[in-house]
Amino acid sequence: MLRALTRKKFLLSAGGAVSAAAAGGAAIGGLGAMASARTAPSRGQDLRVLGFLLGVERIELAFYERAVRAGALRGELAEFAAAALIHERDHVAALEAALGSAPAAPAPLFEVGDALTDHDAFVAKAIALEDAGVAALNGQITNLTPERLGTGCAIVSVDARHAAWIRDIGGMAPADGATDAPLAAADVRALLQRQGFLA
Amino acid sequence: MTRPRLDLAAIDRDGAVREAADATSTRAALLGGALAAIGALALPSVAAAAPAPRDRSVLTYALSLEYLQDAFYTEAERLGALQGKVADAARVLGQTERAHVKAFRALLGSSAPARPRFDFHGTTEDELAFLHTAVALEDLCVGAYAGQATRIRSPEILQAAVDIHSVEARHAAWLRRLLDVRPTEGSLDEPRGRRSVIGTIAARGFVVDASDAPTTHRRASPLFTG
Repeated sequence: MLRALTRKKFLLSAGGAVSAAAAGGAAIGGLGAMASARTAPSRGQDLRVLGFLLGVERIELAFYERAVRAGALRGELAEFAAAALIHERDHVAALEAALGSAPAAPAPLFEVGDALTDHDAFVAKAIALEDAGVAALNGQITNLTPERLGTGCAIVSVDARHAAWIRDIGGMAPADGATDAPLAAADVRALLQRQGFLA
Repeated sequence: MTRPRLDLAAIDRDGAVREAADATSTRAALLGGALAAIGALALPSVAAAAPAPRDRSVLTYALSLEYLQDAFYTEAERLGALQGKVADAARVLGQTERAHVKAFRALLGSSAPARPRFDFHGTTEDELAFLHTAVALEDLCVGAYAGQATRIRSPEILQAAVDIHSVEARHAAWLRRLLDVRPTEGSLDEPRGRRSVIGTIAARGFVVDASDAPTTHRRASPLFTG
């Protein structure tokens, strides 16, 4: 808890970093520009936050679409990827609906090595992606108005289930700690870039 | 010190129990259970300076759910009937829920309600019963946190609740795998209103006493009164 509250302070103070990243472009690899600073939730901020989360969910969707299309996963991993694909498609649709008019989906550009075909590589990438999705959502839900944050809550717990599921398959602790650390938008973007999900 | 018990009118001053999301055909049946469960939750005797009343109401409710989970896993670990991966999960989940209890007690300060006494009717000493109950509890808590998120006013408290919410979802998925069922039920987890959650717990008869008896007042083994 204390860690969580400390993190919140960090996020509040990290507004400048978010702003700097947002200034880099309206859409970086599908991740829309974020709020320039942590301010009280508003309709305008909702649109920026939902746009950012839509970008994250579109990356998740694209990853599973490509993995399923590649057709190399077997057994439980094939089951996981097929289920996650359906869920992420619905998450994208839910965020697009919450946004009203969603920006056109840029094709996520990413270089994930052999993660679409190799079991171990797929597990590692999926864990990184799902954990990043949970952290991104936890970092933004508090920036949404009550009318919109329900959408984030309904999505994040399913992504957390995915994360636990694939971590368990990969032999990692499904839940790592008493709280899930939220990540600021700029940190999410950097993490996804490091993992090859963003150019 | 004995704290006064809650009645529905007292806890529903902020309309918590009248949440629209609670509309259900079993409303009347749930209400009876809710009254019993709410009656078993201690009323904060002194209003804390902070958090604000509505947030305190949510925190008190969240703490009661965490008390329940804490007691469930802690008892399962203490009784030692679980083995292997299930025992490992119970140990880790117990640690986590105890941390959640500590966090909410700290946020509530002197207005934190006392820990109730629970009776898990043998579900902590049988692997299959343990897993079924644990999955039900975790899924319930995922919905409960989502159901409260829109009500929280303090950004700090909301962040804390959100950071815990996704961990409960991880727990649910983990336990579901141990039970060999799908970790996810669908694409979106539905929020659950307070009345529905409390009614579900009351139906299991897990909360047996909310007196300020010392928390060490535990039976050596669960009662089988159900």
